[in-house]
Amino acid sequence: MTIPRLTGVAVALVLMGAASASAETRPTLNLYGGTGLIDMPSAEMQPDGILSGTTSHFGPISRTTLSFQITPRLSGSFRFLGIRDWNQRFCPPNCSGVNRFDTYYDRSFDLRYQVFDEGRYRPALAIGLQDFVGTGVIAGEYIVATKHVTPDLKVSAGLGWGRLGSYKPIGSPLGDRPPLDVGKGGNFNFDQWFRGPAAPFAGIEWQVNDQWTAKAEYSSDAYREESALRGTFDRRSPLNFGIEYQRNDSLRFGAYYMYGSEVGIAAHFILNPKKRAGGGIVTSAPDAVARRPSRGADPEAWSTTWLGDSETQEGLRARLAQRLEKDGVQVESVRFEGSTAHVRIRNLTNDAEAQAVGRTARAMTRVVPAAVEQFVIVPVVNGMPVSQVVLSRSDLEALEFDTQAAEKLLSRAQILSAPAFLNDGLRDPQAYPKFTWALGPTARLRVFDQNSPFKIAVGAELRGRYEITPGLVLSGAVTKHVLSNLDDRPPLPDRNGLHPVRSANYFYDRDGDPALDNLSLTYYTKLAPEVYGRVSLGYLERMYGGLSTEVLWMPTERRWAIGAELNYVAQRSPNQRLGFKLPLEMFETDGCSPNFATAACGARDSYRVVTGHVSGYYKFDNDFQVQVDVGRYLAGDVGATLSLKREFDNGWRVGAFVTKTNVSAEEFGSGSFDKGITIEIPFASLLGKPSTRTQSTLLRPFGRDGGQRLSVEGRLYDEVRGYQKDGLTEQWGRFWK
Amino acid sequence: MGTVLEMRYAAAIALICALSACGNQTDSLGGTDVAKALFSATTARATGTAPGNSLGLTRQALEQVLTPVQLATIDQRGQQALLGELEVNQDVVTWSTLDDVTVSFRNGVIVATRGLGNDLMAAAGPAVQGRSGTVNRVYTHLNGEDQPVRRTFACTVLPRGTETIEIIEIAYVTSRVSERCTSGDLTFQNDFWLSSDQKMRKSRQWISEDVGFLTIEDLRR
Repeated sequence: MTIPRLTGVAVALVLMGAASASAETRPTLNLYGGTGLIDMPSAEMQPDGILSGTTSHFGPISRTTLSFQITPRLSGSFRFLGIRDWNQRFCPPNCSGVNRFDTYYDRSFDLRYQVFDEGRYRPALAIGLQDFVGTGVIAGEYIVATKHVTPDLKVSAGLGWGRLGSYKPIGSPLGDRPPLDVGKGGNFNFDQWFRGPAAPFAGIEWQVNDQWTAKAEYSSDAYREESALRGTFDRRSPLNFGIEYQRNDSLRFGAYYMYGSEVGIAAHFILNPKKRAGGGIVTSAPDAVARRPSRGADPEAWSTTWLGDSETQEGLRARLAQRLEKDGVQVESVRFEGSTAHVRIRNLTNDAEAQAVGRTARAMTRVVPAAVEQFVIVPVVNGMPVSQVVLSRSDLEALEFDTQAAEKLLSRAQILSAPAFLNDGLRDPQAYPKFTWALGPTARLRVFDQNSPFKIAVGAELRGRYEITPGLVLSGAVTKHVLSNLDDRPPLPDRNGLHPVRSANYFYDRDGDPALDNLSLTYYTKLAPEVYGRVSLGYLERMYGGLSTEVLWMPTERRWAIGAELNYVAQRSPNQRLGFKLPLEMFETDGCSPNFATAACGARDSYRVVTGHVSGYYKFDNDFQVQVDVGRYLAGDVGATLSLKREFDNGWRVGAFVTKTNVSAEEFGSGSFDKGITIEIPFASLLGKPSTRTQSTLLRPFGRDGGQRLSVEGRLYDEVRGYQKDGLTEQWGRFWK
Repeated sequence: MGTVLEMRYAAAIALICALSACGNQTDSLGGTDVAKALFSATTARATGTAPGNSLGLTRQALEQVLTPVQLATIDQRGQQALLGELEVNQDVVTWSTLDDVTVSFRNGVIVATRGLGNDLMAAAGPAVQGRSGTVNRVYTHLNGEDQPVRRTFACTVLPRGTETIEIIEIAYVTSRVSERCTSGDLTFQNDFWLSSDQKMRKSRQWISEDVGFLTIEDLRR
């Protein structure tokens, strides 16, 4: 059953041209986890910022995809693909090369750009690159148009190249496709894009109601390798059909009949960083602003005799501290100076830094005598005073119920850098030393190894933090797994002469149970009004211990910062106790038996390295943040890392990074160079309760030894930036909450 | 032997802390909290019940209370709490529940809430009048990225005539006034019940998309 190839497209295009319906349907995801039909893409985009996870399965093919709407017109996907029965026709007897895999696993990246969106008569148009840096196994390019015919029916049609041009091509409009030079993967296959045979595809999508959608498409993918060559499934028809069910805003399911022979299913998980579950952070109400009586009505309240009385002042400090306790704000010190009150605070629980400042200001209106007109609130991080927020008390009184309270207060407030050394004033004698601990669940994942894509250990983590004086912190963590399959040995490819600075992680997973995750003494200090410093000594992370030093220059009023870090570290034993001796077996690979005496496989019983970077940070106007690190990496390789993140004001961050060092693609191994994706989700967004913690996830398609950095806790930029002018003002609305 | 003991110890601790993270950290939210929240977000749907008297209030008990008291009901969640007067800032009076939810009124019209989640950050508008016509009301909320969103609603005032309402065993003859407010796609209706001395005896007022409506009843005699 085939449609004459051009008629279908022509019909679709005629329909598009005739129609003038506006877009009222939801843009849905396809089995590749991108916006589209079933196996084919459409020209639609998800709403800006949407982060989605898709798992889809049909016949022998499984795909798990993470997609992100990077900007309103640009989206990206990262995918893990598995094809079962891969070698059934060849192995035995031929079990070499790719035929050694029973299930073939691969990773791929896509990018898609919408050239223009749908107009009254004009269809939306998008171009896309599928699997554009990988080994190119599912590589394809396309140009596609989508138009609503009625408010709930839309039609898409396009032209595909690569694998999307493999079924009944109409010729090679842009020239021949050169053979793919895979190498170690990870290279941009520029010269292949939009070359070779091109084939049309098309489909329709009908949104029956808010929950149900029906889809049908004509696919231009011949599945030549999977079907004709390897017989993993029987592709009988180019037509696919599906129905999908939207359970709620964050969950969607689909069932399909694929290529005339297979049944498919898919589940989509959709997260919107711009929306909080349940609508808003639930906090207890703040103190109501207390308006001062007029001087005439109550001259007593305006007396200043208390200024000379340290006992009264101590009482004020204690009352303020008590009031702010429920707000998750710790008062470190208070100082009165004429009509100004200086208060140094530490934010313990507020995800929005401005909220900690706002609650302090509100509490001060209730505690501080009437004669004080100016409030100076200084947020302190690890003993370092970051900025000072200067507020006029009259503004607080006047703006409490103003519908533009946030904007007006911000325009009248001053946010300055705090001096490096502050006159202490009245300190809280109980503030230091301070011991905190927590015991909670923990999990460790190992993804994308060649045998199985997903391994996990769950267990408990005991963390402790002892703050001896402001800025001097002893902290540590111990973990113990309860359930784990991390002990399964993954394939261990050759390291090509590089020391296993990270790729021996299997041995760390296997032997480090229980593990001393970290135990270190850190000293933070402010060296100048805009310069911060850190020294850390001890077991800095699970694989390295030693000394780490850092300085950061971060002007309050600027969007940039410059930092430098220098570390001297030794590699820890995989058992993650106190030693630094490296066992022989961690040098083992599938093709090499290690020996200390002959240094076979690069075996050595200890490893020390000087590593460090100069880092530049810049926050763009449009919520993008870029970081460049140049320096020497753990394997002694020299190079640079570029990271780009989309940062949402509420703390969500989605980013990607690439590292290129003087380790060649050959030496690096699979993937050619280090790269990955980072996702940071604030607990507050997930829970709807205030919390300063963030869930960070790092996805590395290939974790090798080139371009690896030390992972030390408490790097200055992230510690400090939330209390800089930009960090305080991006959630300034929370000042009044 | 050592390993076995270690494992038992770890298992016991894991059991103790499986449902909630332990510790003395002020910020002790943990992975389980996240899991629970996600679970409830995907499974639970808030069920609404009509405002009633879930607190079991009686007039006899209220006579013992000397300070002004109002009864607040979150319509959508069916939750009720008593409000006591907390603070006055010029023409705005802030009332608070025992568990730290505050509601602020200007002439009986709610101008702010705190502690409800998606709170009404601030509002501005005229006092409620019994004459038909239109008034503008400005509402400020925070969006999911904590940016203030200020919307002006055009409200049609609809006098509904006399209604007798009962608030904990006392019947009041009131005139009911409705305001139907619209801004873009969003429309809601606030209702006010005023006694002959222009006191606001009862009202049902919109707070935000997520919180819905708050019903306020004045429990003073």
